[in-house]
Amino acid sequence: MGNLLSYSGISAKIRAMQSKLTTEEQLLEILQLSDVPQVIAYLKRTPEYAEVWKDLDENSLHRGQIEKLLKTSIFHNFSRIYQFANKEQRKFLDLYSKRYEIRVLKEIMTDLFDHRDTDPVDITPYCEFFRKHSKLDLEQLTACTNMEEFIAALKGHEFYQPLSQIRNHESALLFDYGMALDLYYFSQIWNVRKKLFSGNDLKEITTAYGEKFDMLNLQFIFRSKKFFHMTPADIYALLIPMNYKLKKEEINALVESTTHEQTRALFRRTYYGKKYEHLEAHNLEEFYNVMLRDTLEKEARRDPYSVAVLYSYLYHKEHEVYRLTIALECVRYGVDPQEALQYIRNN
Amino acid sequence: MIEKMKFLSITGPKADIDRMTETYLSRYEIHLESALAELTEDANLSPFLEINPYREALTSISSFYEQLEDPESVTPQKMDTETAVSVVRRLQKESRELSETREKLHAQHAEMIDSLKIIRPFRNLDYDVSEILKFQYIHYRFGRIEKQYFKKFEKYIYDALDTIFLKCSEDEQYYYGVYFVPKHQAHKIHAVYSSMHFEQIFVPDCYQGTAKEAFSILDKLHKDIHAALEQNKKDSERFLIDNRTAIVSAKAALEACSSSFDIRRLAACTKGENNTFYILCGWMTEKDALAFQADIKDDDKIFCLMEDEQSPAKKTPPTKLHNPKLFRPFEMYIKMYGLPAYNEMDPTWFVALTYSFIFGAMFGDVGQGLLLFFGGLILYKTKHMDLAGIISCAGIFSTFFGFMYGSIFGFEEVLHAFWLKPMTAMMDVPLVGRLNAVFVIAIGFGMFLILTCMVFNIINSVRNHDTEKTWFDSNAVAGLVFYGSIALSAVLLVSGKKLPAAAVMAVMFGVPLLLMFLKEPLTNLVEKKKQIFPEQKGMFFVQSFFELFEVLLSYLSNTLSFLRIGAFAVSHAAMMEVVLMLAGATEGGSPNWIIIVLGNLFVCAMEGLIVGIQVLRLEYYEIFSRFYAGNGREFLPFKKRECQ
Repeated sequence: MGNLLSYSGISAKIRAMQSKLTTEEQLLEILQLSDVPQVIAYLKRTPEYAEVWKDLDENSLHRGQIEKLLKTSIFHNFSRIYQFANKEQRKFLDLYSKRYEIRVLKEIMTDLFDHRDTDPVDITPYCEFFRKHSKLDLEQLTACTNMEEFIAALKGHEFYQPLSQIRNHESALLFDYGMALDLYYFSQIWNVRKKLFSGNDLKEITTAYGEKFDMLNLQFIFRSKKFFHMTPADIYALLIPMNYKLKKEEINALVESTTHEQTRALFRRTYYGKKYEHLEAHNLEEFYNVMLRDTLEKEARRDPYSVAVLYSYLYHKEHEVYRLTIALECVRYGVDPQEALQYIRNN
Repeated sequence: MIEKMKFLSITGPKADIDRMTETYLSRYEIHLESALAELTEDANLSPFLEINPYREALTSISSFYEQLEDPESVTPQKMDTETAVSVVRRLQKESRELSETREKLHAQHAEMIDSLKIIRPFRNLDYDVSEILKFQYIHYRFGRIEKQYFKKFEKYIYDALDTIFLKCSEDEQYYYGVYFVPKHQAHKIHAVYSSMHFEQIFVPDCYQGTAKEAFSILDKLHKDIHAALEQNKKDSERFLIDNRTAIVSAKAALEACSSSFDIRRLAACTKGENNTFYILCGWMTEKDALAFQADIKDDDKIFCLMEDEQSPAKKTPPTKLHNPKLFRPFEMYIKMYGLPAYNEMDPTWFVALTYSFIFGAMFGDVGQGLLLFFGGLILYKTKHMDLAGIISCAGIFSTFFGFMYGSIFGFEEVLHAFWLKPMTAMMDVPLVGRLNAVFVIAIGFGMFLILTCMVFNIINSVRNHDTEKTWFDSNAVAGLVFYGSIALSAVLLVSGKKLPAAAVMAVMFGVPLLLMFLKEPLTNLVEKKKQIFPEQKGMFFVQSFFELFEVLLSYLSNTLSFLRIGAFAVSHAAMMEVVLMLAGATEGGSPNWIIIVLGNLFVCAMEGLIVGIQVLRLEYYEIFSRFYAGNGREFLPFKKRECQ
């Protein structure tokens, strides 16, 4: 009952916002268009972008700029929800927004590692959002020229500790730093969930994130075995130290298995193998998104007055932007609409 | 009064300079000038160069002195130079011993701290370390592993692996420990450990017994070293405290020697290999100079030349004020404004009189005046504060005016007013109307002061042979006549007498104004310069016109400025009335004495401050600006007279 009251407003708002998101039919129409300005003109007519983009000149915009604008729209919508949310709901949103922080940190680190001399990371899409929701000083961080400075600039922030730990390892790579941030974030979610949430919310969070972590672990295992031929010990070192439905023995067996058939048989016997019948070890990559979306939608439908609604909307919004970005790319390079739709559906 | 100065040149054999300084310059105050700069026409002089032998000892004692806590509290004792130098040597030796001990301890500490740091995380290992290090068929590694990886390791791998991990200790991030593997599997298992980010720590074979014993031995050693360092620190402090008197005394003695020695910097030498002479030049008061000359008459190694009529000194002498004891505190105000030049009039006595008088008039109260007098006197005698002396003087006049106004601690009815009550005494002034009498008197007094200052200015200017400032300036004779005419007319007007005839008035006001208007050409005329009028005549007339306008305005504003004397006399009475009202003394019956006392203290402090500042402003702005330049330089004796 309490949930019904506290979520009734935000749930209605989210439903309204969700209805504006670009649908698959619209994407199909977009794919029929012949060039990028037309796509922008099309988007300018949709309810999601009509208001914010009304002053833009579609002919002068580059595809990269459009992608930034799309990214900005994620943060814009997040802020709208945040403003509407009460204290309890903001706890979740605060936790969730760290994902964006990690995203921008990774972008900056990529820049530091790969092409130091090219343009710095464009932080304009993030600026507005970070002023409101984050303690990170983006200007200072983007001004750094190497990892040492970057880590030093983070001093006092929660991400300092995991990153500085990695620095102690010999020959630390971009992947290790990114992994450290992710692991830190995931374990934080898993560890604080019981303190922050209760009742239905706790249940939804546990399911959503638990399945996510399990799936990520499965992905890690399959990927590292299939593509990188890593030793079991190296694989273990990368796993997210959280188990939801995957048992320790199952993970052990999966990691130690030697042949492809053996792996597949082992996977069949796990919770996920039983739950999703057409899920196979080889299409796990593609299925990860489908499954996550499926879980979130189901939860949001079952419990429309819970935190699952927030999570589900934020996921869909990001997903919409991702798909639009692919669509734009396909239009730009003249990919056949049918083939393009395949790419989009896979994500 | 400004002391008369005489310029002296002292000379003697080069080697005799220290004896001369020691014997005579400590008795006679002399303001030295750089001899080389003074005696420029004689090219045969060179600077007196010699290395100061006390410099090194002085530097070293100064460094000790700086380490002392609160060195001012120690009174230096008399010490001769040899003792001072030997004290410095002794102190240097002792402190060197202390610092050598300290360095030795630091070295020991640096040597053992690494092995202690290595063994610390493994101190719970109850096994002989060097035996482990000698294992042949079992491989081992000391090290640490991050907690998150260790958890994964324990969960997924440890049970299946032929290895033993001994956890020794942990901190926030890591588990420390040692693991063992059989030799034939070592390669594989080392790889697993390194996958789990196990970081090896190299343990040298330098420990005795079990890790626990080795740690406790090293830990004790470490503590001992720290204790010894602490002790060393205490010894150093002790050393400073024990020697504080010696340090302060030796520093004072060496400083005196060194500065006497530094007299060479101001001296010059005659040229030549042998028979060189030093030359010192400087200023002495006339009295000192004569006494000094008499003193050295029998000393055949010193020759002294004094300026006289034939060879007068070329430079302006420094200023040394010499005033009666009573006026001496007021020298502070003069110094704040700027010392008078040597040939200028010393305004100290004038300031002393007017300051105290005006202060008294503005703050007339018998009780509070006496408080100021005694308070100031006590502070002046004990703390030697000049300001307190000034307050004390002002207090006397305050008391005096208290009697005149009949006011004691704000009670107006107790004493009979010898003169008038500032609040109530009124007076009719033509053209203005009824006014407080004190206002009119204040203005009158102000006019008198302004006239006096003009006279001073004329005297100073005559002495300086400054024609413009003597005759045509707004503070010169022209100004004096003009302003005097105004003052006279005002007096006649107020006293109800008839004014002089219009023609006389026109001459009285018109002529001085014209003179002031034409002061530049007139000066040029008197000084017989070629060009009388400046080239741009129009510009000159416009400028002079506005200057004249400004002069007239400033006469008015400066006169009105003196109104404040009357205003404060009234305000004092009014403020005390408020105090009495608050205390309930006005309605009869017994007043609240606490409020009376606190109110009196408050008014006394606040008015004392405000009146003190206002009078100073009158002095500087209305009085000094008329006649006083204050651009003299101070007489700085090379050595203060010792008998003082």
